[in-house]
Amino acid sequence: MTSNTLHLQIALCGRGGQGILFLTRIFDEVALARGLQVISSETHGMAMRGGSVTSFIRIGDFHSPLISRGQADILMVLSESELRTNRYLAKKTGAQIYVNTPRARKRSLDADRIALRLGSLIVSNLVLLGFAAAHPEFPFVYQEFLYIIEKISPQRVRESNIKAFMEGYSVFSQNQ
Amino acid sequence: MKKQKNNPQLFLGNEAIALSIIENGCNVAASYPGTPASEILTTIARIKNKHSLKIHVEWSVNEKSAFEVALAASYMGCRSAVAMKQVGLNVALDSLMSAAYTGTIGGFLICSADDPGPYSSQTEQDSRMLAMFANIPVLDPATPQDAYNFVNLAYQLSEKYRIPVMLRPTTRICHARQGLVPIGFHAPKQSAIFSKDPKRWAATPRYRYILHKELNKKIEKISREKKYQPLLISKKSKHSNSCIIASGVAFAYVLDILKELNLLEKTDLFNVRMPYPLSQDFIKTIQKNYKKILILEETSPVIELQFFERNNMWGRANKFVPQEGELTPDSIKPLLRTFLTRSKSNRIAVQSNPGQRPSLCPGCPHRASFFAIKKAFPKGLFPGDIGCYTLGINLGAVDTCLCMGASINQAAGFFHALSSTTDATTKPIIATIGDSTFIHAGIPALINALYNAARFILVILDNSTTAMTGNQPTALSGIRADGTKSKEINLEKLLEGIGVSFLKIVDPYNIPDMISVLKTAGDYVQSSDGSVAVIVARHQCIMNASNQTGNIPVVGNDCTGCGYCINNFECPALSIVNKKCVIDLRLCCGCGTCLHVCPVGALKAPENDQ
Repeated sequence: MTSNTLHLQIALCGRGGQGILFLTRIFDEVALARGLQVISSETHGMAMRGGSVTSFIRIGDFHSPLISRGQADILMVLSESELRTNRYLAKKTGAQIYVNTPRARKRSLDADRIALRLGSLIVSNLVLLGFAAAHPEFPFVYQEFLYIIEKISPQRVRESNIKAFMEGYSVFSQNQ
Repeated sequence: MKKQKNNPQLFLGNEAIALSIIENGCNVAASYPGTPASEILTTIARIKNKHSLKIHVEWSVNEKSAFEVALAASYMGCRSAVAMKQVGLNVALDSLMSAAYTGTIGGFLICSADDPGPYSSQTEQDSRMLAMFANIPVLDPATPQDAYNFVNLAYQLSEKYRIPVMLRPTTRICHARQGLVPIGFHAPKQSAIFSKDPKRWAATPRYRYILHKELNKKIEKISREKKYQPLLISKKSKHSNSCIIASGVAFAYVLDILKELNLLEKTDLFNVRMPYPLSQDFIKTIQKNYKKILILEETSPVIELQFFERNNMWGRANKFVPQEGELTPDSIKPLLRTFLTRSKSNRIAVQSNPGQRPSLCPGCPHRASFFAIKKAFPKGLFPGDIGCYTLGINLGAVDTCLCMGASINQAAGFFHALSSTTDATTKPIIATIGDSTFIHAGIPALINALYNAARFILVILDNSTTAMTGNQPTALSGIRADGTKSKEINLEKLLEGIGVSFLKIVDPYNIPDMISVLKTAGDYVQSSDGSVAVIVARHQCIMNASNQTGNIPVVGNDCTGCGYCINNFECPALSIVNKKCVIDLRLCCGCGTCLHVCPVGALKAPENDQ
């Protein structure tokens, strides 16, 4: 698959306040840095007060921002309770589903626990991203994310963001 | 003209609109925050500050003010813009209807963002319908890139015909992000001249007839403008007797789905960029060439209704397309299959995905206010309003939510209805309204209630910000849209000035104090010289609070696990695990308001604090 024909659909879900918008930005920027076409969709407003939040990122020749049933290549779930309501988005076969949960399942990680150990629950989004980026089947490599996280993080949280991302990354690497 | 880098940069639809407004040399931009439109003005203010531009940017107190401020700048030959959400346009509708008649001079852009779904609104109304009603052209972008380009098209059209032009993005455009290459800045106009012309700017009914005639002529000419005609995007190789006509994000969905299903060559597809006014030529050509026409647009049949013959049209009018709710790829796909292949396709029920309901944040002062209100008046009637605090529904302390400012008028209406019946019991009425909403539409309502002798308690939930839409500053804050200082409106003096004689300021974090003030207010309302009692519940929004340094409470062994705190306080940090209340330390901000909630006092301040 050459990069110009890459078609990749990524859905992120969680609860308001979990940093879904920031993750969406990161994916957008990573795609753009590779010279790929990208369009993404965010949830704002009422739902952000702790309600369910879903973001879509579509990389490739797409004009519209929504992912339809059974089309997502990757699903990242920041709050396990959201998995049930969003699973329908994932491809029936071959989808990679990364879940933030203390329970043991495929491609899952207790990102909250790691984030708390690092000092703030707010970085669990980046812990899970780092964990996903460590998987060989993940379509981007961690250096691409590092570059973007460094570029777009506000100064005061840059260090802690990078640390959280690398922490998630090394958890997977260590377990291999 | 400043040149930008040629690499694409990422822009949210709203940011793309904002950037384009500035690049097109806008002098005055005004708005009132409302999802999904809020980021337009925020971004204009940010770009203004970044490049030290001289343009005027304001958060107006409501959409009518915003509209008229921007319109006046256009009268003086300056380009201007007003942005709002769709229901905000209702507030400015009076101005819109008349501005279509008076016309404009400098390009005048009305950006009204719709919210099919709806996700953050009280209606799914289609602003394009109001453009048609007012007789002004409306552009309907399908992508953030379109939205960016259409701002320029709108300004050109507005200046050529001296008419307000609407740009109508929807949530999926406003909050979609896409890479695009900025074109570069045009300097705004350096002179503003008002050319007196009373027959136009102050037209009396006699001249209004002439202006109406002029408007109708303009619209007919605009409908024939070449650059704004529907585009034939794909054409079936052989002659096709069916076609699809789509506009806005629905067009982008159709294009993506046809590509995905390899059906792009099976049909003629038109993209309507200006849904109103459609030219008679286009309508006649479509009617003549096609036997079967599918129309996909959000949310009302604006394109469809301009066709005089609708027997061969598949759309909302014949109910082929669902008449409510957002159009999504999942709802459009089966429609396209049925239309193009005649196969009966099972319609997928529109995904109803309620998910987790939103809730007030941990530490939100509104939660404490609602708890106090429910405690003081368990059987009260609770007219509510628009903002985060509409979520008081979850706490049983909000009974109505109509539109901005309605709580106060509804409280008055409830009172007058009760007192007009023989059953004039003394039912307590407690209305709640936020500070920004009070300034937006509450002041005339309160004057009305006072003057017409209504009696109820009004609680102004003053968190010093417009929280729901992303914490934009209010007129009470002393901060303007671009961050410059202003003299804040003094709420107490305002209330005293219009004749409020019972006025108390409380900190809702002190729940017992607020309950006692509420009860005193209740007595005042019932007293012989009672009127509207106003309580200002003042505490800063938790989102704006600098490092919360509260003390996390502890749950004592006396917790009975009764669930009272969960059902009546609904703090996201509290839950019942194994029949005991548990505090989620990750969410708790230590506000301490829950200490007043537990019926057996099991929620306690931490030991070291005593």
